[in-house]
Amino acid sequence: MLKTFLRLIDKISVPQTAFAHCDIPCGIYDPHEAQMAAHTIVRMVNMINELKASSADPDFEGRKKIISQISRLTKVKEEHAEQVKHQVRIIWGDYFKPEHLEKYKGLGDLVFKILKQASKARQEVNLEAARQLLESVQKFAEIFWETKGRGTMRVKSGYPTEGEVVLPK
Amino acid sequence: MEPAFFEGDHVLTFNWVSSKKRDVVVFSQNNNYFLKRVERLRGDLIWVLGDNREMSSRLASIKKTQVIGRVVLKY
Repeated sequence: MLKTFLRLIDKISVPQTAFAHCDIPCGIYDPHEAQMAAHTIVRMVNMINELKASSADPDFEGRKKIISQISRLTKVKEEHAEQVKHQVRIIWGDYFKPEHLEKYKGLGDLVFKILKQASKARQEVNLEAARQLLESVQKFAEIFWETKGRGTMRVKSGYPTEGEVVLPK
Repeated sequence: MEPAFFEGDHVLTFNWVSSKKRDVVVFSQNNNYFLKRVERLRGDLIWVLGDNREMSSRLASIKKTQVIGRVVLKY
């Protein structure tokens, strides 16, 4: 009776909405996207390095073609370096808790390193830098899954980079 | 806040009593209202957490002045 009465009042004076979550439902985190993005950077660097000019002194059409190809590959490389940073920042900021930092002493340094390495991967066409970034992201993924009580395994990615991805067992 | 509260539930809050641990409170933050359970109180701060840990896994601190009221009835 009281509840019916209160519902009736609410129809006249509409109550405020209260949310149970601070943002879009959290709790769904996965470092896989960061790994895919890091693999993409390796792939883009490889593809840029494999480009060949039509001759030692290409004509205008030849120059236009290779500049266009480099531009496109560089754009994707840059976007995925930002994607690595974005994904790692989300997990770092929204998922990891003080107790994780207490347990994994090097975690803060690892995140800092990833952000710097991703910037370097953006700025340069540097295969070694891209590989180092991928390795750091894989370590990050291993720590992430360990905090969830999941063991990890490194499996062949199947990507053209021929590298590995870290997956939870 | 499932299973205690589901989307669409209405709640009645009172604000003339202080909140204590395990109370469910409505508080305001960033121009929105939120419903969470009190986990810890210390001084002017209250730590709140959602019941559904899959969706709300982070303990957050709010000031007592942000509390709109304690939930006394769900209808």
